[in-house]
Amino acid sequence: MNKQQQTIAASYLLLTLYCVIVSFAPLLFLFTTAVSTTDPLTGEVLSYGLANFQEVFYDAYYAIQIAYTVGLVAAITVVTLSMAVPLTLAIAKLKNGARSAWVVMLLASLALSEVLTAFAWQLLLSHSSGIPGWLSYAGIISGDKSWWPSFPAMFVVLVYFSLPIAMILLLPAIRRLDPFLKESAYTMGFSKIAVFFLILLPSLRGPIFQTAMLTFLLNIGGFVISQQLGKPSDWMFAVFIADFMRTFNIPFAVALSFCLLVAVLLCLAIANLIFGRKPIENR
Amino acid sequence: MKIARLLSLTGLAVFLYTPIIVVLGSSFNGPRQMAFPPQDPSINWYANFFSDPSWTTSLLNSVIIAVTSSAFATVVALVTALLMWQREGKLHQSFVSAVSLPFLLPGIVFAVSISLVTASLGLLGSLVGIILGHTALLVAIPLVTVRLGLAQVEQIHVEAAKLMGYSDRQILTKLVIPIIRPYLVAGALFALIISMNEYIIAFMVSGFSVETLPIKIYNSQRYGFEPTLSVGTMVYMLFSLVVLSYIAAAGKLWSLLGIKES
Repeated sequence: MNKQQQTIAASYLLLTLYCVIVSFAPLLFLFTTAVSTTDPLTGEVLSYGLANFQEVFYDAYYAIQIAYTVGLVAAITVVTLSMAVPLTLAIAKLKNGARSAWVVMLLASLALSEVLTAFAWQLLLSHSSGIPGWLSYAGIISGDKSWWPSFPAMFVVLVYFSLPIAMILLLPAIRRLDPFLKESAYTMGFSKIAVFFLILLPSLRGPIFQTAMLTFLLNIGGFVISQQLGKPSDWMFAVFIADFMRTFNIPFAVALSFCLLVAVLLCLAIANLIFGRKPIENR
Repeated sequence: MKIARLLSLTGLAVFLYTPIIVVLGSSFNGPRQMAFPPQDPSINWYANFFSDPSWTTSLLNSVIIAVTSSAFATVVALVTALLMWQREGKLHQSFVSAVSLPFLLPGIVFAVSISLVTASLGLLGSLVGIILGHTALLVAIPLVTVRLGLAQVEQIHVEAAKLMGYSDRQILTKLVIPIIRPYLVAGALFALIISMNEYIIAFMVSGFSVETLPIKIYNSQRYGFEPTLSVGTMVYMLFSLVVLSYIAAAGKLWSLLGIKES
């Protein structure tokens, strides 16, 4: 074995070790902790079994919370995509300079994390520094209440958080669309609305599906916006996991995480079965 | 149709930037309470931010974690991409999937699982633990950009270099690395921004003993809002803008996004 082959072999070995530590060990720990019962004082494993899962499914509460979270995130994904596709089409039609400016604006706004986004919107929806105060000052509404915490506030902010990412992911696919496709449709007498629904959307089916999957994944694992902008009854499943981690009920939090992971994988598999066929242009 | 486009894009700009403008304005508010438009504008809260050790320490922690983890993530991504470059097969593809896995898991699930790993390694509550978690999360970013860069390396140039007697090491250092360098730097910078902003992993691994800036901002909100929180947010925004502007100025923004400019 020469020196170069030794270097390559060593690189493979290190990469395998890295994958074991950061990709496989976390999932293995997740599973083993979820099926273990520990001494609350010492953290020592007392036994292995399904006790944590029995506790999770003792009644329907957490199953309902998972279903609510999946439904909420699916709704956020649909609303985000419904806004992102036409807006990205509008940006794609702009001249180079204006389009570049928009890309930088989108990237800059998506650089804000969940914590900062939640904080910024709390200010905007507060009576002292935001829209309710301005409308009250203008005499349009009365009262001195802030608009958060509330379900609409949480929903809007989750869409706000997802929108720039969805647009950045869609832009390359929209830019790659063949302009002659649209021109031919117009020549054949299609209206603009018909072109959008019958030509553009089917052509973008693959990228829209991939963007929807990423938007779904991004939101289902977050908890800060939900906790900061929503009422306790609006909170997403990840909030419960974070709270149990905070209170050191770790096996239970891990069992909840495991259930969320299984639910997400099931959703992705179902979505892939229903919507994940190859896009029209690749058939 | 042009009016509809103008209106929709104006609406989008207002939607995206009104919260940021309110944060910016409130950071210049004179009194302690939050207000917009700012009352008695002043830069006192900026001075307060940079003179308060609890804020500067959390900012320093964020910078150390972001710089280190983005550097490690870029090295892992580079090694992975180079090993997989011009090699086909499921085994190689599974390496790419394995290093990208943490990025594709729901955030809270990966944060919980990596906190278990760091706890077993005795790294819970340490900067090293957070760096490990962030490195794992971020590898996928430079991996995408480096693979985009490697796609720019023409096979004909590699063959020409071989014909000229270049060794594999020389081809790597004199041909491949110079071509992929902008993609490597951009990937590292994107990873840097995400690490600076990341909250969930940092929160799970910090074990209440290390504060990054997002953790500090989140924790401070429990004691009520004050303009220093807005200053912290604006520091982040400015940092991200500077980094993104650099990437845009380097001229690789469009190809990094997979867009061919007309």
